[in-house]
Amino acid sequence: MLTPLDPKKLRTFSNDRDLLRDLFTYLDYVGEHSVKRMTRTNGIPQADLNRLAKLLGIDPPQKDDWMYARQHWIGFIDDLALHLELVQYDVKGTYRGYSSSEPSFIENFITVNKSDLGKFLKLSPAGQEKQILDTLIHAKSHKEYGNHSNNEFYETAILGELDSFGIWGAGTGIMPTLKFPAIRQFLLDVLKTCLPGQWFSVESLVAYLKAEHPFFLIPKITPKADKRGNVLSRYSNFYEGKDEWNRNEKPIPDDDPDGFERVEGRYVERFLENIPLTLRFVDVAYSSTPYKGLKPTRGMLKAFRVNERFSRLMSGAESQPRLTVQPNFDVVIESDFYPAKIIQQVGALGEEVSSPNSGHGAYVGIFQLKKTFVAAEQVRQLDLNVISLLEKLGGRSLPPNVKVELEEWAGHADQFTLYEGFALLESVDEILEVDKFTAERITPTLRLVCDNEKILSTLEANAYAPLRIQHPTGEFTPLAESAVSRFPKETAQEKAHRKPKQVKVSRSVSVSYQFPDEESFTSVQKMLAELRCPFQVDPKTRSIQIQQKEQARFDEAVLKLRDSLIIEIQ
Amino acid sequence: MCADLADVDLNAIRKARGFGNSETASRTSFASFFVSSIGVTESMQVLSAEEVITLHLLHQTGEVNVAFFERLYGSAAQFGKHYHGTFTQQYKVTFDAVKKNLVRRGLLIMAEINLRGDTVQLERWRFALPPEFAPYLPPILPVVTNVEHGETSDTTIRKKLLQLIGGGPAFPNDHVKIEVKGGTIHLDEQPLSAARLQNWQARAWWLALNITNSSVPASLSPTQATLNLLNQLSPDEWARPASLDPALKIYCFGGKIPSAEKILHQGWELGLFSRLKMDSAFVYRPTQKQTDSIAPQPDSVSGIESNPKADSVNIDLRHIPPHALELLNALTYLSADAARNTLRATPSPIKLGQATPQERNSPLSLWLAKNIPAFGKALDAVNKKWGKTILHENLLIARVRDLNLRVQLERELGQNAIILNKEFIAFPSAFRSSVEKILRKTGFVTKTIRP
Repeated sequence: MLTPLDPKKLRTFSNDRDLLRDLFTYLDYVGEHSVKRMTRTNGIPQADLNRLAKLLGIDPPQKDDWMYARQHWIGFIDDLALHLELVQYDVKGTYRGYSSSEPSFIENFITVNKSDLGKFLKLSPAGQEKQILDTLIHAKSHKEYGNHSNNEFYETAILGELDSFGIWGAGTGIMPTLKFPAIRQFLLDVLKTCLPGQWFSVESLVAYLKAEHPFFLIPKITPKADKRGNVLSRYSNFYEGKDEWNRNEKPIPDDDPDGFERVEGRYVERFLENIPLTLRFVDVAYSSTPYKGLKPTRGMLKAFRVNERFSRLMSGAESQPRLTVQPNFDVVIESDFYPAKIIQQVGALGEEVSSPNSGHGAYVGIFQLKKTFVAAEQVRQLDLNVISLLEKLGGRSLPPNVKVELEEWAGHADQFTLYEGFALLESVDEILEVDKFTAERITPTLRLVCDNEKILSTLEANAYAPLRIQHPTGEFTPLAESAVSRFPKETAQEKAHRKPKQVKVSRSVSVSYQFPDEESFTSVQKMLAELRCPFQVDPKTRSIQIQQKEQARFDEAVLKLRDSLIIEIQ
Repeated sequence: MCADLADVDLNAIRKARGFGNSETASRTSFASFFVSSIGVTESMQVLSAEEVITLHLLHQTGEVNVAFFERLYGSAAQFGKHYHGTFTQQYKVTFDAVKKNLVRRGLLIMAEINLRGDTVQLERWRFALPPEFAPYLPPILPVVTNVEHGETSDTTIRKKLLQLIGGGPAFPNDHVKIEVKGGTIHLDEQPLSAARLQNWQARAWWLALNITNSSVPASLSPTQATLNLLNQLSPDEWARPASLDPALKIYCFGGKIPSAEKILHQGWELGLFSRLKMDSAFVYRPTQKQTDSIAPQPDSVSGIESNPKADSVNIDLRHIPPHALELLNALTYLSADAARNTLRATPSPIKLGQATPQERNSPLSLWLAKNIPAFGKALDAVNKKWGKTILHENLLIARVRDLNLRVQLERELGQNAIILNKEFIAFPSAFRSSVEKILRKTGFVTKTIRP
């Protein structure tokens, strides 16, 4: 059916970005930071772009132009998250006045839709990937009049390099009648039949489509005229020209023998480097020679290859992520698709030590279990059983040494408990009246209490004559001498024995030389500099100051200058 | 400051203060010589009386710009009329005078600061009197010494206190409320104290004079200025009204200033000042505070009617000294008896418990305990219990179960940790970061419990 092709002489390209992983990185970032989009362009501010790019391990967009940033991977992820309804922000804006030529976006913060994200997280990794695919297939433009041009003919692929048709007239002619989601789904079904790992020529794919499915893009029967009565022809929307500036363009005739290759063929090339390449379903190979023909380019994408991930996803043969805990406390996670939920669970228990960025094959991440992480997670989730969680995720029991250590680490969560916002009630006798306000009884006469005002009124009503002490943040308030307390007291004795503050001062001796004239002053400075002797000068008094430890080098400088200067030191 | 000085200024300062060449050779070290006492007294001796007053005000104000000295040296503008020239044109003469008479005499420091927006250099200069020079400033007022107490008027205060038992306003515009609420006298919604009473007097004084405050920066109201000036007097020192006028002219620059005689007389009527007739004219000083703690234990207290058989005392608001009423307010439960025109004080164990040891052991407190058995009983009970039940607030309490961690924390916190028992320690909240640092180092985590 399709002709295999050896891509040796071609320029091959593989997408190394894992879209699912990058999407979660973006969601984590906008969830943790309060990202306010720019008022004029509605773009992500440059500072956030830079931070996001750093997290994703890519170069940030260099230009301060949102149109340019939208062509960037981060812009694509941002757009995808909105299409998936995992985030929300205003895309319409408001016109601030009669003279406004564009809408403004005031206080437009990106907010994460927690309920939708929760639902998305509940899907299996393959399910998440499928939802992304479905969203990209059906994606509509956020712009009111942008839907007719929101397809592979007019939009350059985020990772692609092929140019596009001129957008002029996209809302007229046959274009608004085309059903792009169905076209994309049809082409994906065709790709599904390709042998994974085998390079095929795009030319043969186009030839196959021309022979077997000549109307996959434009139906056989098309409307004869548009709403205004203008006659429609099959290819009236498509123009070719000598350059990309829409000059001297000519429409492609309907009866042209190679019309299919010139319209549908160009579409197939652009489709391949759009959704399939973005989602890492295919690798592509471009011609290595420069293009010399009518624009937009044709036949530059020479070959493609589908991979196993795509075959498995499309066939529905979903594999579960595999998790292995090794005796050296490494947790290895393997999955065809980015397993966000498992990574979130394991990431809370350890440090990510390796996360492959090849992007091509399956996800393999290694986490090292850490005592502090496990203890902290135990504090966050009091009923968490780390051992059973890892055993459940891995489907097997843990190595014995890991089990023992994890039990001990989980115990660390209880070793240090901080009571914040409580008051300490110290008394000589046991006070039963404050039992209901007691959070923790340290000793019969010491207890942690809350609701201070009520306690004070209770104590006063029961004639305990309570003393209320507000300690400053940096020290204890000294108590009166007559108070019975284990806290420090301000006594006359303490005042008398207060030690003076000890200060250690380092001593250095410097020597200063004053010169009678500018010539000798400059010569000695130059020589000292040659000898790399540190010194300070005061041009006003023509004096040079050196540290005493540098005396030897100063003497050496004087010695070296003896042919021109005889320096006598008084 | 020294970096901004021109050589010619530095030479003038050297001459005025008597510095040697070696002391002015380095600008860095000269800053230390400048604020020393060398030659300060001599430089101050040649100052005019107005300059001395201005420097006193400058000391109270802090850092100022050149416009501050308009009160002393004037400016190109006519006061009260709009000036159409630039800032430099207006204050150039002022600046020159300040530089010549104060900066070059080595008494004032000046430095250029950075300001936002478009400013001219003259706007950016800032002047200040080094705090080290303040003790050397000549006295602001000529004083007369007399050991007599003089006469004090407490009519207005009495009127105010009598409002508690149904009296009329202390003066026509007096809208400040005084009432007994929950056993405590409240003045303007706050428990009565000597300081609050004095604030009320000062406000009444300002209203009585019918004056408005000056809008010129650093200028004070005539009442505030008079209080500031008279508060500088030592015990047994008195000031003549006429001697205040030049100082008020500078302190209240830009505002309407009544005569010092009028201001002081009004202050005396409101009980803020004492006066004494000397050479057929009055001299004034602030009313001296009666400090009960240093007075001998009285056999009887003016304004308090005691009855050993009763468990309370009646307070005669016409005679009770204000400081004694403040103390009773802190120690006893007060209630107004409008029918009998008296204020009654009964023992309050709650208030006694809240009072400081000084208040509880004051002569008045001891007198009450001795003469009224109910007071004695309550005071004894509180003294027995006081200091034995303490509520500590704003502390962090930690339970440390690991022995090694506990040792490390105790070593790190030292005197700043109190060991409560084998597991619990208490420490000031500022040491939280040090504790967390040790936890991170030792691999422990914090489990936080909040109410």
